[in-house]
Amino acid sequence: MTDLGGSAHSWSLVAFCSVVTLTLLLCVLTGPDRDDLEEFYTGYRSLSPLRNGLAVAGDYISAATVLTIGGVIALCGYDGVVLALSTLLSLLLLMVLLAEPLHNTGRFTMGDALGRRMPGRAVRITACAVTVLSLVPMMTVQLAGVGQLLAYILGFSDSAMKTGCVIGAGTLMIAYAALGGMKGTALIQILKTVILLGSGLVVAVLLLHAFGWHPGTMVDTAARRSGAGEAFLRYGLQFADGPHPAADMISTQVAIVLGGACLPHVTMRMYTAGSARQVRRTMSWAVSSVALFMLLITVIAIGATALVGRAGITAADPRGSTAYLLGARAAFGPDVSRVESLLFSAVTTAVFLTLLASVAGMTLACANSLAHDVVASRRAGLPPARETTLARISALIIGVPVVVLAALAQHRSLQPLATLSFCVGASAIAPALVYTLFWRRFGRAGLLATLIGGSVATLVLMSGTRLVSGSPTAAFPEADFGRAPGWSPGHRPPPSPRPTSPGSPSPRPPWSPCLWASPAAGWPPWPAEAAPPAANATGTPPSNPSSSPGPHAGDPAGARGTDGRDGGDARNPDPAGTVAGRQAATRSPGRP
Amino acid sequence: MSGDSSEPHPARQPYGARPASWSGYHRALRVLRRACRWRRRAATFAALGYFAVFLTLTVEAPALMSRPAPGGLPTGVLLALVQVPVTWAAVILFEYLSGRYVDPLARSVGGYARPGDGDREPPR
Repeated sequence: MTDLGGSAHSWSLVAFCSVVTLTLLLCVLTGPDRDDLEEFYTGYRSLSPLRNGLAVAGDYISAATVLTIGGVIALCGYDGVVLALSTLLSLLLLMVLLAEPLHNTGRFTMGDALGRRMPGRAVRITACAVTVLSLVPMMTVQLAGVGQLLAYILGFSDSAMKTGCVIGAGTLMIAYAALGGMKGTALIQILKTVILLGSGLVVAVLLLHAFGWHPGTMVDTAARRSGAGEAFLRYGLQFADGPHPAADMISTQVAIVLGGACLPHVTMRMYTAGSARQVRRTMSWAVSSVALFMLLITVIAIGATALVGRAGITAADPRGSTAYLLGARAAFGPDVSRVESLLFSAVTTAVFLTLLASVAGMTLACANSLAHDVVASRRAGLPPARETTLARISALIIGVPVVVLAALAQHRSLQPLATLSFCVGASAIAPALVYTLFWRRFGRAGLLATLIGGSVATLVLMSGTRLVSGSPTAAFPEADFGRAPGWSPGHRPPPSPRPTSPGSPSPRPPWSPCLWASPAAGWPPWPAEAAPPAANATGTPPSNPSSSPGPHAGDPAGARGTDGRDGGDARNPDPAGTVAGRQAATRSPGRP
Repeated sequence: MSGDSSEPHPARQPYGARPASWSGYHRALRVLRRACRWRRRAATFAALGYFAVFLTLTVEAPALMSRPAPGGLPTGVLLALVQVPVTWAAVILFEYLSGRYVDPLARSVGGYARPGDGDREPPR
């Protein structure tokens, strides 16, 4: 299932090149005048609510969101659906709780919103530091994923090429942010949201059509082919290894609900609307678009599992991050006409554009904060032309280290970085904003304590988790910071804190096995009927000949019938077969 | 524009020992603040409440959530998917109620001249 076919590769390459050219051109054309600060930071407050709403949705749906949520839904089913809902709820909360007050108090950046009641450089510098701390990990995650994603879409496997892709995408993102400012990136975000929603809608309709417009059948088939059976439809697969899966799940969702929409690259778009009424209308469009997208990604990812099967998804990427693309590819069937391959390249272009645009938006948020909060607050009478130049240089200052970090972090587990972003958002930014806006007696000391305390607590606690070290799938599998503070290279680290059961083949991965564990780590823990073939345990490059777009790749269950793109019985799937499949899956030993 | 950035308790006098003024600008502002506060609280609790119930059901009653609901989908997935149209409805309702009840208050506050001594601009 990893082979997309030569024509898809060439179409995608053509589409990427034209998209890059077009968006750069748009950026240059719509970019702000050199000496207009207001225009660089807010786009003149001139965007209509619909356009601004699409831009907010574009900023909010980052590539990490698309790829991660798609993967979790495809591999863990129900957990992923809940994840998608928390992401949506986060934006809804931003709309009803923070959007209008933020618009009324802020001018350009989060530092403005916080510094309005509590002026002073310390507040602004801290706000900038927290902005950078919350966004740089997210940018690193996405840039580091670029190489892998392009390698998959364009069909190469050279490591140097991947690094080249990371550097190229990083250069592009700096160019977008520096040349386009708020207005240019807004245009790219709008373009991306429209392409993403449009192509996603077509794919979702095709997928539902393949299952005869019976979502129930699709879900049942997905549950059967996921190898987890009934467990696919209830919570717990994502956190199966921990001692408290329920607590893990709830805390993750709370972090995403509180932190997701408070990240500065989303809140900075609140300042670009004209009036409180327009903010509301803007957020209505944004929430509606994101809701539609969450519906689409649910259908596409479940369809991917139903048509491709778990084996095909983990073969392309052990964390399932290509599930969105696999679902789109499978929706077109094995024989792809020219129109279909054009449509598929629209999907890949949407994902590629999502990557570029969301990273550019984050770069802009960091650069604005650096230029406006730190440098410009030092000197009151800085001329606007100087500050605009400063903001452009800041994009470079932020962007270059991120590109280097991403190139270095490419081959490590990126889960702790993505989690770090959301946790900083939830534990530092969200309380600081809510207290500042709604708590009259909240003072400067409290604000600094909230921002610094929340960030430091997140950093310290995060570094002790098994996401960072101490397990085979951690970012630093060779170390164990959490268990032994005085650990030195000559000293053997203590064993894993959680005792593994006697029959367990290997230490268990950290709490997000679905996302980031490789099959080699002994996961999934259930004897899946669609277990990844041994060849895939080493992370097979995308050239597996048995992985044609057909749905049966490596899945014995597929031969039984109900999935059917090949057999032509997709419109009338066999309900008896489905029930039998589900019962068989229920009888299977399940998770230990 | 809804002046929503701070939230005084109605019973507490905002600045010093000055008696609360119940006429004109101050009264309109107080009414507006109260309306904003109610809108904010009701919307937040509704959104968070639904999700909290959903999460609790998910964690506490997984058997119920995986039981097939009418239509073939499992109850949990159906409840989850229903949240998308509910979100759309909530957004429309929020916008309607805001336009109906809060915006006129904000306009009436804007109609008064801002007094020189009270409710000064917060220091920049």
